Amino acid sequence: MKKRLIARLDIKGQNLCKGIHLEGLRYLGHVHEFASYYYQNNVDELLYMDAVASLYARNSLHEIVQKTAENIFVPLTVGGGLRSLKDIESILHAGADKVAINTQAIKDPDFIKQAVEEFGASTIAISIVAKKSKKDGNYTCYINNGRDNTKIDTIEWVKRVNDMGAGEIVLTSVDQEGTGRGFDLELIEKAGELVDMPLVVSGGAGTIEHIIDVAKLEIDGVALASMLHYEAVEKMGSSQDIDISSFKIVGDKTTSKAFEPHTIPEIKAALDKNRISCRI
Amino acid sequence: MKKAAIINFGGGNLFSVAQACKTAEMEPIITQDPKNLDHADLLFLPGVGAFKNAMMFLQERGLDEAILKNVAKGKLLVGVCLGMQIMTTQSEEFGQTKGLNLIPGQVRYFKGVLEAGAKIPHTGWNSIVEARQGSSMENTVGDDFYFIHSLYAQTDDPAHTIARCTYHNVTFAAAIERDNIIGFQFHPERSGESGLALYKNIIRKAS
Repeated sequence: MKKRLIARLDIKGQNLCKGIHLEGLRYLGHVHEFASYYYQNNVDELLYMDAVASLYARNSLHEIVQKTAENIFVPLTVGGGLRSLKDIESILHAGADKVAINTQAIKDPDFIKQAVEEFGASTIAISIVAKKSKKDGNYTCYINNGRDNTKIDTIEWVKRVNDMGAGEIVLTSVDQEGTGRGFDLELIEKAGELVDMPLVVSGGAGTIEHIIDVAKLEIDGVALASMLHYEAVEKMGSSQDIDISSFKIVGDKTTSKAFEPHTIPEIKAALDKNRISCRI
Repeated sequence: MKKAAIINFGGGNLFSVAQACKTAEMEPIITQDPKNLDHADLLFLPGVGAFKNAMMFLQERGLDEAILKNVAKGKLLVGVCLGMQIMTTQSEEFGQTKGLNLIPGQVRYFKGVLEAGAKIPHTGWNSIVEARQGSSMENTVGDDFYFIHSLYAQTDDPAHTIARCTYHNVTFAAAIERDNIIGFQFHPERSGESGLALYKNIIRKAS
């Protein structure tokens, strides 16, 4: 199977934002401009995460999802604050193809069973947000956009999720997210060995080497954020809607050259050269 | 402008099918009313959900008969994903269920047939390995399309399978066609420019 390159857009209102460890969000510009740019650049899929959904206990991306579906013709997964079958239905009707569910899956695993029955397995993805304990090196699951530790063991949770009948797992490492230091290969390798459903990994991509390293594992999709956003900001910098200065703040807070800006075709060409199959 | 009736049987992806129709200069109308099928130039059966529920929904509303009647008149019918699968004779999804039987064939689970280690659903971009010249899939060998499904179709008559795709050890129908009926297992409306090109072919076929 071809490995999917997925652009992950963390969204606050109508704006693309980016933080580190999912926190300290900065605005980068209008979501639709970035999404359109990635679509023109042959992205395989889009992942929209409502970064502030848990604050309001609801997903507020309907408008932007609808706009995306008007002229972007690749799959779109939407996550953040989806708590009921009605929430799922309404975001699907806005134009999402899949939903990613974290908090509600943990609070009520039966909810996933209901959602799969109602909308089909292929529509329901489980989002797992993991952080490594500094004490014992074990991973635990976080909810509410990486803020609250559930103390549930991530590996045990992956095993359970694998049997819930959903169509995909989106695994995010809080430790690596927004740092550009590479993926959490230990976590991903452990999870990859356990699942017999598609696995998308997120958090840490800073260089092409990072992507090649993770794509060699048992994974199906790689979500990229800052690396792509950085390049997009450079390219679209002249647009009034893009605030380069805010991106620089994000960049400066990490090690100064954590992110190599690359276009999607550049990344795909590098994967291809390394005999990793992807859609060119 | 050709009017495309997009049959809403409660699944998702209606909006993206409608938008893709617009790119091909069709005027989409999302409907659950059999009368609207009579007024349309071509029909779409979109594709998210479960086989049994979809068939029950169509039967309850009399949409199944409206589809058969309009297809018999020569109107073009396009199925996508589950919409393609319900064009066949039957599916084993959640117990054997009869389909519209417009293109004789069987829908089976990947599970149990796929080799160990192959992930289900078959999700992502996959290439066409075989395509029939003169069909709606002409010249698509090597093209990538977006698939997401746990069951696959096989037509009883191999001539009705116009494109094939391989996932691990299984080769299955990526697209099926019989006269004025076309079905895609993948999502052309989610397959970028290659998928939109198929919508443009469809509108040519409908005129």
